[in-house]
Amino acid sequence: MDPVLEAQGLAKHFGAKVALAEMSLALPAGEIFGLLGPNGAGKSTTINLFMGFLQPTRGWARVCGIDCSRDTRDAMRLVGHMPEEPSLFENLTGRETAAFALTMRGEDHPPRRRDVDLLAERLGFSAEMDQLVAGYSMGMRKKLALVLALAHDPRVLLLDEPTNGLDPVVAREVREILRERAARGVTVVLSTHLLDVAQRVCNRLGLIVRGQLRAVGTPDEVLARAGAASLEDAFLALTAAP
Amino acid sequence: MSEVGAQLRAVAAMSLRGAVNSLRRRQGAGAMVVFPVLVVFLLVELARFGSRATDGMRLSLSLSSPARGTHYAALWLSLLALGIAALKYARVVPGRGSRRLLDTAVFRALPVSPGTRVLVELALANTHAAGFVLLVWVPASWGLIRMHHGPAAALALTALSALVVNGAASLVAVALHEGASNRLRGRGLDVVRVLSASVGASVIGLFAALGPIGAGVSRNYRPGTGIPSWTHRLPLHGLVRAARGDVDVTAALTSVAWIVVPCALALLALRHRARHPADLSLDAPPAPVGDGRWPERLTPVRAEWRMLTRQAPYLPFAPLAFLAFFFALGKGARSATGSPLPSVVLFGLVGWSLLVMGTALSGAASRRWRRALWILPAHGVDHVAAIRAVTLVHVALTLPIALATFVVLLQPAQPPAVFFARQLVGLALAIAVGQWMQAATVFHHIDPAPDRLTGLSVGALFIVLASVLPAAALTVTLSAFPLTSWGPLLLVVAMMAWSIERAAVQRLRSVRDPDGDPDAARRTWPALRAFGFALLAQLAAMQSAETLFEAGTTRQVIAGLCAFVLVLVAASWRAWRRYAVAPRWSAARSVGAGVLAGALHFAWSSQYARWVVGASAEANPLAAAVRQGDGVQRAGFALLAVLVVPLAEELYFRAWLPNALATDLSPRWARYSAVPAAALFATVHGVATWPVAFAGALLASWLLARSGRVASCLAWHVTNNALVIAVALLGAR
Repeated sequence: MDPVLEAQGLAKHFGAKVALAEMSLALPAGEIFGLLGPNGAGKSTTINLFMGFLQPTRGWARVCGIDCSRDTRDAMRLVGHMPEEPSLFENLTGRETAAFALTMRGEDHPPRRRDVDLLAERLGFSAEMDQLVAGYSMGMRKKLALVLALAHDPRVLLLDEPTNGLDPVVAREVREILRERAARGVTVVLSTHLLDVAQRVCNRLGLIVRGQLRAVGTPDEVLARAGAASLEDAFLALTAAP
Repeated sequence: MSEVGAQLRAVAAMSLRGAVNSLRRRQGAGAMVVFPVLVVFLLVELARFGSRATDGMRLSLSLSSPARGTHYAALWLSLLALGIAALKYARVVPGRGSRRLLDTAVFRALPVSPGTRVLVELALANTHAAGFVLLVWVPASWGLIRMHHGPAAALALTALSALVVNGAASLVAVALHEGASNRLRGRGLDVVRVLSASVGASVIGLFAALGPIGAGVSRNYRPGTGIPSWTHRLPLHGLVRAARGDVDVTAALTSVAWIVVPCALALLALRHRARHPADLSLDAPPAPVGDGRWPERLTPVRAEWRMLTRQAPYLPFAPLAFLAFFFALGKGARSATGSPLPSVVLFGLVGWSLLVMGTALSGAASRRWRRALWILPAHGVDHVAAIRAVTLVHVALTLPIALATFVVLLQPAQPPAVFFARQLVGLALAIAVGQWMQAATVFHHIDPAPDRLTGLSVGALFIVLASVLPAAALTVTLSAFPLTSWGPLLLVVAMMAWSIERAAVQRLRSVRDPDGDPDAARRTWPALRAFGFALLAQLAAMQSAETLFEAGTTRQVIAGLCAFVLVLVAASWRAWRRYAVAPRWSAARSVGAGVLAGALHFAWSSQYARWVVGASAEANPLAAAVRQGDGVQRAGFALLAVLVVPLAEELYFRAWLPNALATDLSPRWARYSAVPAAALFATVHGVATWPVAFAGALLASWLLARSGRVASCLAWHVTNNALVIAVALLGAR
């Protein structure tokens, strides 16, 4: 089966700073892949390269065979993205923002609107959908960003710290939603600092340190490679290595 | 194309809805009515000003000579178009942390078509520097076109030329920026922005030196030699000829090519950029701006200065740019006319420079002030100190502009030293209170929640007005009025600034709750704001009446007073009841005391007018107005002056304002709140009789305090006005 998300020799430099060095990766349909790493390791840069926000210095990234930097728009149609700090239009309500996003994707029709309502309800967010974004807390912004990422039923989800700032009940619901989507064949890339989340949700993990992919595999494989009993010990061992 | 159309419609609908939501959120539902009316009023006044200015310019320079007019008009307009493009470029380049529509995470992650992206970018760029187009291009082209066309055709052609130039300049600026942002980041973009702003300002300086006043009557020009051949190559030469009815096909085509070719190239560049999106500059890690050492202790003023110069690094250069501009203008005026600029033009230009600077400061402020709001108090700096720090930094930036402008332009006139010193002091005070008002207004409008953007996009207009109008009005006033007249005016504006500051501070102290000041409605600012609206209503009514009736007639005065009273009564009617006290005197005793006091006041104010001012009692403005007009107008005016105006003023100046002031003043000073209210009352009633009006207002406040009944001070006011009117009518007979 062809990989849904693929990168080959993907690198990004900002002047002398190497944000990502030669990453190669292939993710099949239905996989939940966790990107782990310390602050500034290159997790968000990887996601931005897959979104086409950044132009790779070398290599390529593809979504369903579509080059992310050359055919960005076609790639974006297949992807749902949730940034770490969701910047939103402050003077629209959540519902207006969702309607706008669906219209821009050419998918503003009743079934999609029903999906949005259902998602908002599952995230405990229905009442706030008619409030202005300007009044949202960080958690509410995260919920709206997640609704926007999922609303058009994408084949790939790129999520940057999706459960940060969410209460435990909603965080659990988010994990459940991700599992459901993966079961329907959606490929999910999850950038996170929360090791327990990564261990519970992800099929495979990738550990990035200073722009380099140090380890890739199932949680058990990563533990075995680091010779550690817990993911936290593995994380510390692999990030400490020069 | 259908996809682009659908996306554009969605962006337009979303922008409109966002603007409406923002207006409603920040200013309340009433703003939906007030805001458009205010904008239309300002635009109409701007058009009237531009029309008069350019007509006067045209007449004074005798530019009706076709050769000379075409030559210089093409030169000026080409320069202006270049300046607009440069200024647009300076505004288009995003600074770090800028939050444009296209930079939000939601918009970036959507599959936006290249066409939509380009058109949205262009639509946004069209709004940048639009104020400059309105302030400079529109009056210049209007004056030019009016030489040969009627008002309707001139209006259409002016609008068309403004749209074309604004659109073309936006297109070129965006395309240049898109090219530059691939190669430049961080400080590099800042430097480009500074350079571009400098080029724009220099072009405006050139416009001044070579433009309407300087080159129009250049002594090097030899009349009768026709149009120099090189001017055929000027970008707008053919269009200027066409505008004055002298169509030359070759020249017109050349002119169109000057516009179309750069626009076509810019469109191609944008199309390429939109199809091959590269790195967005904001994603690159910012270059370090510190030097690794700990900074010196940051005082509020120092912190404010640092934040300002990092957000808008070009602002400290503004005084130099203005200095060059006015130096060139003064030189051009002298070479053209052999004499310095008239004082009205001089003060108008000072006001204009303050307007431009006020706009620039507001533009730079949208994010910076929110940070100042939180960073300074988080380090133990009081909100009052934060507002005063902002004020000081802005005064430091604005004052050199006004003073340098004043000195450069006035220097050849060699005015008396006393006049010079008086105007300089007046300017400094006017700017200080104007900036104080602006800073307080910003903090009053700011959204205290740390994770929200401010509503400054909507409040910006009010903030600019708050900053510029008092300062500009005062600078113009200072040129014509003696020292005694602008003292009270400054006092009033300072009182307004103080009241906004108090309201802002109280609101911010109850943080995290935008409506958290329980005394908000009882504070001074709502009272003064209502008074300001009443004055604006009076001004607007008198302006409208001037077009219907003759200026200075009783009808015009009646129209103005009616508008003033209506707004003031509407605002005061419920507000004063908040401060109701138990009556101490009987109604009859209150009215009797009021009548007696009114008669006494009439007697001493008449004597004051005779002895001190040197005029008869009939010189009172009320008396002067009632002596004009026919019987019906006199009766109407008398009714208004004797009953309606006293009711409105007593409800406001005695029952509402002093009590509102007492809410804001400390307990120690609250008992004296009638004093500033009386000062405002006296200022409104004219500078010549200020002392007697002040004393009378204090007497009326005392009556109200003793009796506990509004009827007492109302009787005082009615009696005085009735006596003034009666004496005036008897005198007229």
